[in-house]
Amino acid sequence: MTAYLIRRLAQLVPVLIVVSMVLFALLRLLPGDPTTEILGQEASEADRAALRADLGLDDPVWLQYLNWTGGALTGDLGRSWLTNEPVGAVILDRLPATVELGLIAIVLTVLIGLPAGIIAAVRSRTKTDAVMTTASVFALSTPHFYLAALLILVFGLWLRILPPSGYVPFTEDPLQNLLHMVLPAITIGSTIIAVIMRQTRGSLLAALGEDYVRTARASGLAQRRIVTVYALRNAVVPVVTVAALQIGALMSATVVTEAVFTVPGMGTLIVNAIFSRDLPIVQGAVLVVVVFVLLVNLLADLVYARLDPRITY
Amino acid sequence: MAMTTKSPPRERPVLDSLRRDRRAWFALPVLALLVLAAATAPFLDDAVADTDTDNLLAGPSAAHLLGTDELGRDILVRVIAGALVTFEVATIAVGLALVLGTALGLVAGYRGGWVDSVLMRVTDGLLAFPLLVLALTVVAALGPGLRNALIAIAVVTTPRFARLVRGEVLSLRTREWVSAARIVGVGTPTILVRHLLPHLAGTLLVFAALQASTAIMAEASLSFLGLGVQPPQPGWGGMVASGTAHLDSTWALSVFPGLAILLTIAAFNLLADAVRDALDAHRPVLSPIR
Amino acid sequence: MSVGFDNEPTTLDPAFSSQISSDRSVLNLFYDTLLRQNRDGGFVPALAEKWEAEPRALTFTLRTGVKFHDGTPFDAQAVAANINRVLDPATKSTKTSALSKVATVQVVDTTTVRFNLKDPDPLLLVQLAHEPGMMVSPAALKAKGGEYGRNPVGTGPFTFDQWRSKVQLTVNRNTSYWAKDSDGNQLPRLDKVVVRFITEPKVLRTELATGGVQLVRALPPEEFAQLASDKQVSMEDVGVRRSYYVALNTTRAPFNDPKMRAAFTAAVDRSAIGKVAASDQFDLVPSFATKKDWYYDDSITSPSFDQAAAKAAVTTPTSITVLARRRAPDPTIAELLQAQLSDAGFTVKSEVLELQTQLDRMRKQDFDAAVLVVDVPRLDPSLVFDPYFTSKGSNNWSGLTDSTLDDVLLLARSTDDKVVRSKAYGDVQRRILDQRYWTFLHQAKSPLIHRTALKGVVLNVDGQWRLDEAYLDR
Repeated sequence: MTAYLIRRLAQLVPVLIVVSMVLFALLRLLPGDPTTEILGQEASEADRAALRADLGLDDPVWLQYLNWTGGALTGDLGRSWLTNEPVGAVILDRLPATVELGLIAIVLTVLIGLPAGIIAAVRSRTKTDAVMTTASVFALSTPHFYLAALLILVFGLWLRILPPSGYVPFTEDPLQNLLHMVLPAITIGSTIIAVIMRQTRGSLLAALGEDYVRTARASGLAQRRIVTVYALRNAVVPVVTVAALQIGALMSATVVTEAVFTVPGMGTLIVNAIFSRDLPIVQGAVLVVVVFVLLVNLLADLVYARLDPRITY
Repeated sequence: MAMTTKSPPRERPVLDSLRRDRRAWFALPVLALLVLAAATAPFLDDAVADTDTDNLLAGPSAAHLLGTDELGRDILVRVIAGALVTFEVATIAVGLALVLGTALGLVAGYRGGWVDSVLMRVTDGLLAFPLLVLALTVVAALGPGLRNALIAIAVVTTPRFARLVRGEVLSLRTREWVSAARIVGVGTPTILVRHLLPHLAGTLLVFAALQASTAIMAEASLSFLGLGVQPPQPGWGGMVASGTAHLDSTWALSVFPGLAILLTIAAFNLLADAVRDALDAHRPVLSPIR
Repeated sequence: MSVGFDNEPTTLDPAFSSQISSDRSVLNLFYDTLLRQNRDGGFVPALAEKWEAEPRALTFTLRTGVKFHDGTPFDAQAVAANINRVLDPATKSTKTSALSKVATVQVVDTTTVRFNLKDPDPLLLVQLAHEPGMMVSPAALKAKGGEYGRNPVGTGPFTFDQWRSKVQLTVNRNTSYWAKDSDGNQLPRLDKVVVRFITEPKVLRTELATGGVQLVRALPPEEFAQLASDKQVSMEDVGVRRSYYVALNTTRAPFNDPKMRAAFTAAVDRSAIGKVAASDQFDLVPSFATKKDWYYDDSITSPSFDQAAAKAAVTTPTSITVLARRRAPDPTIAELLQAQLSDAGFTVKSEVLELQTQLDRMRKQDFDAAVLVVDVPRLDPSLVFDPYFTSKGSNNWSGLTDSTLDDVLLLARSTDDKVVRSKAYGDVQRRILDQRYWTFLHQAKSPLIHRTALKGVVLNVDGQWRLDEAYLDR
């Protein structure tokens, strides 16, 4: 297992190098003179030169890249051009909301997507199955911002049973925090719930067709037990994999959804920073998101390895 | 099949099973409407920009079937004209990614070696980004606007095609008919384009339809955030965004453009599903797609 | 208590606070001024118990026992340090010009401080009731250095707790605040204030309606109209108007040409924009002067909407960029402007930006036309005209170097004779309109809106709040 972990970690290295190069190339090399962004066009050439030296912009490109990645490895992501706050601190401030939102969305997925998939599989080729499968296609096809707008309209403005937007830190008021999280979490979860439902249905159907289930059925075990104990155990492995692959999609969904509900997470941070042309923030935040996604995928691989007895190292 | 260099024709049975598929019967008319609306768009330039400040946020009427928006412009006209952006995403951005990604995938898969290694490491790196996050990063570098949004979407979609095509080529490369062609002295470019590519057509079609749905979603999201289509050009994502300010009074403003996006994406998804099932039914070896 | 606030300040250092008068609603939490100005224009003591004015000097007797939040004493030395800091060119304070008549600040004893003036300055008291007179802890300035703007230390009713950019600002009660209310209760009455930065008007409105915030800074008419029937929400027209304008960049083509500026103005249908952006809740007036201002002059007329004239003037292809802020209704205004200007033959690109980025671009004169809004009236007309229209004004977006205008503006602020001033401000407005430097759009009504449970919000004459006497009535 340790050897496998090390091998998987080693595979991440080239990926991270490419990721950092892409970010560096896009956000350091392409846009114009950062000293203009920071100091304005009227700044004197002396001030500008001082700042260039300060930011290391006179160094050769490769050195700038090494400095940036070196800083990133030690947790130093530079400073915001706009507010001069350390980028790392800003990100740490925004991370909890996004992580919480993601976790709640995953809980919703397990609570809704998994049972829905099981029902669809058990009732396969009935009306229930058809309705659920169709519903899942439309859930996959609904843009998050659109679903968010509809949810705000219905639950926030008409029924007024849930706060339409905003965020209260969990440490301040846990109940309010959760209430504020409900609509965004449903929005973000909509896609993965559908994906997980389809995946559960598919792999459960496959498992139900396998010999050992037929044997179990023939030996008189109750249908419910067959499904839960035998088939589900095998079906769950591909579901975990697919779920982990959805982490990226979950982050994409989060970006838009946070903007609609004004949740102060990584998504709003990135979008606002783009509008403010605060590139160090964009760069740092995107890097953290990508690393996070990669780590979750790695974790899923390890879980997968534990769950599936057929895999050996 | 041993020495033939062409795959057997299989279009007809595929079309037949598509004809029996309800999903195709939903998807194709919706997509036909999209094309039609997009083709109409250039003729609507004046109507699209026609503001009427005495008639703001009006409900449906004979003059304005879906009512008017916050500048008194006809919502229906703008929804129709907005199809153009979505059409451009599905054709230009995805088309660019298709061509580029396929070319890279063919080369990487067929050549192997360091070319493959380098291309695939880059692909892995790009695919590590969540799609919308990478698109946002590209837009952050290039600046907001439709053209840059299209570029961003092409950039994020290309590696997906490259990865797919490379995988397919790797499995096809060892087939007898490829080696046969090589022995006969057919050049590499010819093998790639004339022999391998036709085999991939079905898979690519399905994949392109799926990518079109993702791409349309991504562009709509960028535009919703204000980073894609810039006003006054009508685009569905932006229209939903400006409508959210008037949700409780003029819901049509958000609901119809949103519905248009939803239906278009659903059509691409269902078309992909239908074509895949039709192809699978007539193909001896199942190849997993996605 | 929570406040919904749309304009996040860039700094909490009053010496650098920008253009935006709304910053003061936030700065008032942390800082006191030497004196305050009532809504009727009269001055009342604050950190100074009394003052004595001579033509070329102003002597303040300071309140004793007042401490900054960091525990250091507030005294004459601190006043001198604050004023000298603003006056020092090396500080590059945005408030230097406001105190330009001050020659020296003299510490007479610990509680007496004397301002010696170069020339008489009728507006000095007004200025000192504003940001230039906000007292900052000199010790904290020294300790925090460049980080001071995010770590404010004043003598005010609330102490700084935390500022999360684009999210919220949290402040706590200053338990040793010097002020008591008229019944002798210790102020402030609120334990904690959270200023939430929300730029989306719809969100602001729903937050207020659902009690997520108790007070909002400003809502566009289409939003507050929907609150009219809500018994939990109180709305009062306090005379504040949000005056929208388009500044034209006169430092480069095409708007360095007065003819093109005239074409721009003629192309703009102000009443259509008002209808779109402010329902029916707006006034159409020639400039920043509101109908109730003492210097309002109804003989001044706005240039009229004349699309034909605009079309005739745009003879060559003319591309322009219009900047607007990413907050409703500004992008909508920009979009309608774009439509109107296109009809007149301009080729228009609009860019929607975050406020700070937009201001940056405008300060760099990297734009052609820009839509913005200011809250009017202000404590004194000089405060709304000088920053925007003097050559050295901090917000001289248009890049003006108009000596005629400079002279009249100087005249207008150099006297307290209202007849002279009234006439001067009339001339100022005529000059600006004649030259078409700006196109003034509508003035949207901006009532004070809060939950009825919130009481005791005190307003400056220009509608910015002080919350030291505010409390929640449950």
